[in-house]
Amino acid sequence: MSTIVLVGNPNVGKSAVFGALTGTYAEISNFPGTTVEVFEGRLGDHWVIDTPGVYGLSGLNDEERVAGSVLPGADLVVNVVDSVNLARDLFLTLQLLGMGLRPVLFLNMSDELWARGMEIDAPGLSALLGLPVIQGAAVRGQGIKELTEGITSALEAGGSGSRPLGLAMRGQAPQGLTQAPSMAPDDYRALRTEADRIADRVLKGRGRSRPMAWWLGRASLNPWTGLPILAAVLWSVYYVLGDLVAQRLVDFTEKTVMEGLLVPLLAAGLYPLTGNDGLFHALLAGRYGLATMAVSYIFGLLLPLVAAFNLIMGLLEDSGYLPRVAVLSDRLLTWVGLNGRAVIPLILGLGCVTMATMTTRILGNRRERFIANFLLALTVPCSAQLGVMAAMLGPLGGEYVLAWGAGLMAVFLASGRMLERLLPGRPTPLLADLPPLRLPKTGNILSKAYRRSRWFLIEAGPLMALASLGVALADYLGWLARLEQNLGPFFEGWLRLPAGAAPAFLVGMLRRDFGAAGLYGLPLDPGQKLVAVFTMTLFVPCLASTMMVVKERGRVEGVFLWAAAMVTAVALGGMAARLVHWAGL
Amino acid sequence: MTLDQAPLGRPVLLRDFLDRRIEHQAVRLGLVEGTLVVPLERIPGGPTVLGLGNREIAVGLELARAVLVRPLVRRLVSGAERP
Repeated sequence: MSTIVLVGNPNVGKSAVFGALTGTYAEISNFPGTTVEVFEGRLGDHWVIDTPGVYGLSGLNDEERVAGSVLPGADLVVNVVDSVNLARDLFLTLQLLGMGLRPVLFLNMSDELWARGMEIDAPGLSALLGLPVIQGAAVRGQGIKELTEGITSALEAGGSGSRPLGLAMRGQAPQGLTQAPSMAPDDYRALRTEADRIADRVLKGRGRSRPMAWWLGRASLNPWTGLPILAAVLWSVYYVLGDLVAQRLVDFTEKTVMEGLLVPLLAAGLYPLTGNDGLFHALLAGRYGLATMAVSYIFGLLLPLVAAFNLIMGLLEDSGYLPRVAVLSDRLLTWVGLNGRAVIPLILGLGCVTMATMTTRILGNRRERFIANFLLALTVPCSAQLGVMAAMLGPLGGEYVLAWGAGLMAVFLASGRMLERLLPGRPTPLLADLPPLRLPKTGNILSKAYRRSRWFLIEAGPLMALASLGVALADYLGWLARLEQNLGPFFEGWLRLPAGAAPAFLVGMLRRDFGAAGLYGLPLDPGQKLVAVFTMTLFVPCLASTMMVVKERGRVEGVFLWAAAMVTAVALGGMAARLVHWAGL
Repeated sequence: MTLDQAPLGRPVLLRDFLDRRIEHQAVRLGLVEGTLVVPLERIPGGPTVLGLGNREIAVGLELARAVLVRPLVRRLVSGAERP
């Protein structure tokens, strides 16, 4: 039983190779930093470890430290290389060689290189480096059989640790590995020059005419064409999510299927058990009951929205468009103390803030991670929430959606700018490789959307059931009425909302989308809807994402973010109520 | 001339990095003194996108201000702009 470690530059397809080798699912996308943790899977008797992408191994950032910490335990290293970016990637290969390792080289994305009318002389490269070299394209399954054979024979030949050089005893970190490679600029330049020289010798053919995707990629970066493209993309997302799904589809699933069909059916089925009133009725079939509220909110309202959003996100992620948005938004994000790279966690946050919190690891330093987490917790609504918002504000007309969006943007900019001024330090400048635009693969988008939606059901389903039981019980015992009585004046006075909104905000502490769903059923006038939705968007991050912040950033930051979001939301909500009143909405 | 001022579409040679903090990262991406790059696009007040071979690399404004470049006479490098 041996340990095989996959290493490579960001966005070269390590996770695709990992998935193809082990059959274990690993999320893949077309932007650097999809994998931020170490993943393990099995290939026959062997362990395969997938690592975050790194350009080098000197412990320069978290990814490098993570990848570096896994290497000493490896019996065999597989260096995944992007064939199109051979020169860039060979730098890491040479560093691995310099550490006394003898990796198996997998030239991934060969199909893209061939499509450009070029090829790599694999035997030549193998001879130059003295390493086994295999060509393939992992997302198409090409070269995986050969790679498996290559791994087997390399392991039989004694693996690729520094053992053949006699540097280490089994079970002990090899000496050459305890020390990170030299950071002296001259050594770096020497490695760089060597990598360029080798790539030059083995790359054959001259690039053919630029593919269509290349021109589109350029257009997306030019300010004159890039901003209209961005506006068109955002509008399409809004149209599909806010109009097609949030209104037409949800109207069907929520009203026709759930309220019209399934809920009466469930209530009728439960009738012999629950009767028409009493505790059981309240818990199972009442207004807040398990069979009524929980089932119809989760399956009728939230699931269609979450699934649709995941499909759209998958499309954006796999196309390689997001890093281009990073370039367009770098200036704005620098103003709030971040840099363009932060656009990726921020946009992923529109899918699920909990997952996005993990992705903030790709940011350069503590300061940026703090700002990004704060903005995520306060201003970025997740897909489930976004859906309910769209369902509530959509029918009122574009100006309400616009007012809500503008309000959020203002809070985003103001709070980000404040943190930028208050926190010591400066934003790290952007320096990033832009992946090529690609036509996304339907299979990957579908499986990613399926897995994320399933994850949503697993995570949110039981919580929703619990929340509805809790609210139903509170209602039955009269606590809800008392809560409305006690908090009501505050809601009516400050937020100018009916007292009935109090329970929705209470549930919103669990998950904002449940809170928003609670608002969905309240009789509100358009202006109140806007204020309620705006306040709920800013309200405390959901339980899961708070836990994730605590896990990633520690208890102090977690509690601080939670409290700060609560205070800010309520304060700004009250101001918004007055503004809405003044504007006569 | 610094990178943020280099005209678009004309190849330039990287001369020096005035900001040592990013030199390691730049080297790893393939940017060292003497590298031939082509500034492709620029967001006003924002990043410059460089072409290096068939890759595209985005360089933030603050960083671009710290990279010294030397424009090449086009005649000399026709053909040096390898794919």
